[in-house]
Amino acid sequence: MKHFVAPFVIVAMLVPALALAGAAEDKGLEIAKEADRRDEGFGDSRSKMVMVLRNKRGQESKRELDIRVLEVKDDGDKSLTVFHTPRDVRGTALLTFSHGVEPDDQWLYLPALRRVKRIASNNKSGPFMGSEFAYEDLSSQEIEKYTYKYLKDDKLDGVDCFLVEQYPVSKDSGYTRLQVWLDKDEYRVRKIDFYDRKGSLLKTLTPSKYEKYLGKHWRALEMNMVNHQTGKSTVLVWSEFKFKTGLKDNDFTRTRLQQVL
Amino acid sequence: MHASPISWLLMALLLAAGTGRALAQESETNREARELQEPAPEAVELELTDPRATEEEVEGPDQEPTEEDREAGDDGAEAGDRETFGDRFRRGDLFGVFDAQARFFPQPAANPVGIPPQNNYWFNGSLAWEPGFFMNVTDYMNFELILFGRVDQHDRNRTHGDIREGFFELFFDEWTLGFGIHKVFWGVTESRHLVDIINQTDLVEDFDTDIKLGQAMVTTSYTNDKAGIFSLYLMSWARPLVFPGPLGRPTLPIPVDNSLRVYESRLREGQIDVAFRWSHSMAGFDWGLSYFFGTTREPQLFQTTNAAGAPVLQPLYELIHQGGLDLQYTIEGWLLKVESIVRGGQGPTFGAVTGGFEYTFYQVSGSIVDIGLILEYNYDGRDNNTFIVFDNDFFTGMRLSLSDVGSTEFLVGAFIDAKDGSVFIAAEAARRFGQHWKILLEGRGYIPQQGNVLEFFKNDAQIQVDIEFFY
Repeated sequence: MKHFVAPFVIVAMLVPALALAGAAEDKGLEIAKEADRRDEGFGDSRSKMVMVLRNKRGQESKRELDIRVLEVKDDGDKSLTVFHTPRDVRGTALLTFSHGVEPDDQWLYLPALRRVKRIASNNKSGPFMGSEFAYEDLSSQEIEKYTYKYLKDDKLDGVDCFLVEQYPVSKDSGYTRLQVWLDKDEYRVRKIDFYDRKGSLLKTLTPSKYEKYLGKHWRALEMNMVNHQTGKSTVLVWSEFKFKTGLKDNDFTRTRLQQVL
Repeated sequence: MHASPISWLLMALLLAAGTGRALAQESETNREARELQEPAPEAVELELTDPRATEEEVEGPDQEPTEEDREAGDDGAEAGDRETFGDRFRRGDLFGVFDAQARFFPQPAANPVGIPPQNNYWFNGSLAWEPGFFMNVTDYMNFELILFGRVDQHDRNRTHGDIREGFFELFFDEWTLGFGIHKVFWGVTESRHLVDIINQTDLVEDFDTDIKLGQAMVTTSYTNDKAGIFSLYLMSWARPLVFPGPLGRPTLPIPVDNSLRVYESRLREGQIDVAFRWSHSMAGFDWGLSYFFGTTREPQLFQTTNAAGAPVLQPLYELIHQGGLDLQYTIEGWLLKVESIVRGGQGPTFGAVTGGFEYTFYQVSGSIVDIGLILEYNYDGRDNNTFIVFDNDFFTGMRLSLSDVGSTEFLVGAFIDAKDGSVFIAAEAARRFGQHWKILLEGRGYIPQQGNVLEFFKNDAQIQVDIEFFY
């Protein structure tokens, strides 16, 4: 999920502006860019995801989805997400064209009505399908969606990490800041603390079970999000990751949205 | 499995031929068709016991394709055929929903025309099943079948069945080709779907016009990032609009007799309807331009008497031309919407417009509640508008969604006649329980002024409960 695939052009435009900023900001951005650079060129990917929602009493609820992503060179990624369960939303599909700082374009397909609906995309902070993941947590992570500040080197479970603070650019974000631990070896996200609009700790994301694809693309096969304020949690379990499957722009259209099951 | 597309075509034709038949007959047709398309049933049975062995048998020269091979193939055209039809059939998705529905009517039925009402009951129960099957026939072809059937306690017209979908769709890059029975939706507004014309409304299911009957068609579309989507539809066997019977509630004061229906087209139901649509999306704008020529989905009704001398309404299905425009502008939480049509062929040419906005407040004061406000205005210029409730009306609604585990949602909406202030009001609540169950609650009420068409239904306020099981 944390595949930083920002267009290099926009990043290049940002650099002069940031040159005036302090060294910690520079280093934070450099780390983000390096993480992004390391995941460049994945082309497209397909995967299955199961969301397991747990409430305070430990009761579970599941959602199964198929996710397709297309890397776009000079813009944000395109993605297509289809639900298989719960069964009342079977076939419901979401098409997203993400655009860095600009709001994303999103279309929702409702199979019962055969209706494709353009939806407002400023609902960044809302929970996705009742889970602890907000829409913005699941959307394509472009470099220009945040400003950065390197805090310090830190050890997390014995692993050497950079600790970088990220500040969302969008006013619709539900967060004031994110503290991100990236391991120094591979620039993989090890942990994220999310701070809400009031500045208090809201959630912690812990990705685990990293696997390497095509020799360079690291993907966490499990992501655990714990909400400290409600005691609820959501685990994303990914499987069947496939890269460079030959998906094209034609596979991410309002027409295809209705045919992807 | 290379020969399968032709056999599938046969199946589609068989399906299309079965359009008007009862559900039971349909499933038989379906089975026959499947036998037709699978000349070697032994092979299928073999596959069920040992898929690996059969795969090799059927494929012959192709050597043990792995999942990776198939998915990683740059050109899937060849790769797709490596998986046998049997594999794909078993990977197909069986889905559907059972619905147990209860309607309560607190007031005694009344008939403003003076005929003693036959629908004077306070409770109506009914059961429905909508089974579906979906499969990828090849990497470039999908098939979907959705049947529907309902049994109603009182209304014989509401005890009905339909083929919602029986549709093959081939897609390759920019092009798609589809044939069979299908549903197509056009439009953007919430209170009325003016532009949406391809499918007949399933009015006995619910008079809110959201539910549609399947339509037999051949359709093709071209999708291009820069130019948008161009779609062409050729349709036939358009379905007559079925109204609730004398025992339905609510129902019309005089029953509609579909056996007396008259068509302008000499081909009657066999008329070929043509439709074209161009839709596109750019920046915050999404729009569609459409044109339809063929038999109207909304008949005019004329009072006459049947063979027994009783007053009935006779439907007239004229040939119409209809141009349509739908447009939405999306910015922040705002959705600005307009739909408009111009129709010729049913008396003088007329126009109709629905337009308004929807605004959503997300996570109201830090909670998980989203509140959407909807305001739309409806105008309809047709002369014979006895049954058009939307001639000059406002719709105002509120949608309250909790982003919780059960996707709880509340909806309240009211149509208000701009001339006389008559009101139709509806409120709805829905929630999922567990992974499979859903409960819906709905209330409807009518507050008509004298002379308004809503007077027919003034005693038909109802409370409806649906318990649905999805699989």
